[in-house]
Amino acid sequence: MWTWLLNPVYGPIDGFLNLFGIQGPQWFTDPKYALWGLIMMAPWGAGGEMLIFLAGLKGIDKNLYEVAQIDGANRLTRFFRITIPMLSPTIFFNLVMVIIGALQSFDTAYVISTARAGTLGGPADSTLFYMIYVYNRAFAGFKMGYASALGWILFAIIMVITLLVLRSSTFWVYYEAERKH
Amino acid sequence: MSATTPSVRLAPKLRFLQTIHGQGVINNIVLYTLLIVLSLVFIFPFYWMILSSLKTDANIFLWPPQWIPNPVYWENYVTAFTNQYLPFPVFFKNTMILEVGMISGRLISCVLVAYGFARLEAPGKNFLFMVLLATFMLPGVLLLIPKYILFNRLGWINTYLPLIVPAWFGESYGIFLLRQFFMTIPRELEEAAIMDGANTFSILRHIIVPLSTPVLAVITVLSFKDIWNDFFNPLLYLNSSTKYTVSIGLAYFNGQFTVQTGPLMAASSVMLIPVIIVFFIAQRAFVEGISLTGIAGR
Repeated sequence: MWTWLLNPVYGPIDGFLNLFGIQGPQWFTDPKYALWGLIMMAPWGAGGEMLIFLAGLKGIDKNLYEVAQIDGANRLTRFFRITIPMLSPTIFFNLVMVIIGALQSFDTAYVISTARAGTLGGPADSTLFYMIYVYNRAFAGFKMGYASALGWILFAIIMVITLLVLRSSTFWVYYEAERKH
Repeated sequence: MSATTPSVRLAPKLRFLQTIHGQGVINNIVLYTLLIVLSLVFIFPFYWMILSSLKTDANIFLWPPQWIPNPVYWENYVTAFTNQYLPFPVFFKNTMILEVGMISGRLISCVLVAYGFARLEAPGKNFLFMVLLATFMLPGVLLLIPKYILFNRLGWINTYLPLIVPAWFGESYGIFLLRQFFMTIPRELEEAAIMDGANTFSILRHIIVPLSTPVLAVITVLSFKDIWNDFFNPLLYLNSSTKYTVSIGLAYFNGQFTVQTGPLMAASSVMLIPVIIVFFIAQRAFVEGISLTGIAGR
């Protein structure tokens, strides 16, 4: 739904760049820029992450800032010593979800590559993501078994990466509830 | 965006102090300019959509684009909502049944499960948490057929049950999010409550949930948006058109008017309104942050 709402934008963005005398690239037909085009669109899908960060920020005890201010901590110190550590569980959540989401990228690339470049994963395989390949095998090549196997391999890859992130979290994620007395 | 949000949050007190001393005015100008420019960039697609909904078909694809529609063409809205085959009021009522049924289920079940993961001890808790995370990793498409077969055997096809009932049994996204949030709440509060004779449920009800209103509001907003936009699941389980949701109606509309971009943009613009309303209601939960009075001074 969203990609489709955003669809008419591709023209205007280049038009906007032209205002500043920049020749906008052929975003989704030039293999050099297609992937960057998709990456550039990502922030419009980040509203959910932003809301979650906002809730995380609101969950930080205000008194911590007051106490720090009394102790003479400046803005930057407070940001790095209070905001970031207190927010780290939220950062961790968004990190895990975005990694999983990115590895499963499909919808946007599917819509854009078929509509703009005419080939799935195109132009010139520049937006050929794993899930696009799976879809291609399953429904264009009709190799359902092969595609299912690919699906499980992706599952394993995501599992390993998530486990690594989960392990790393002990070094940088701070949980108030686990504070040692 | 995340980099600018904290400074905004920190700002009120500081800004007050700074303007008294006549400093920070330039800072504020820079800050606001940055925020306004970023906002404009993010609003642009919506502006473009509403703009297109008010143009005649001939003007939509004009280049260079008309930045203010001339003439303002309201006909698109009339065309969009007077279609006798697509009763949008009925679709709206159906969607709201789903919204209420699913969101209440998600909030209640996710809070219970997430509290378990965040605080209670049980053998295999970490393994179960990995299983929970694993449910994100499976491409959702894989589960469609087994789920359909299951609900078919239960005789739930063409009812709202396949959509509402699973929501009452937890939803991994909400559970993970709430668990992360609960882990940031210090244990002292609960320990004090236990001293006063509170059991797990009253702790949950009187301490955890009130402290989690911002994140519960986020789950409400995001769920509302997802259910509102969900096209595939309702389509899969619902057969009769009187039970269809707004997003299915919109998709049918899309099929019917492939060449008429104007009415489509008009319908899409109107479809955004409920999501925006829900967001503004929920936003009140963000306005006041929470304060863990009494234990922060340690």
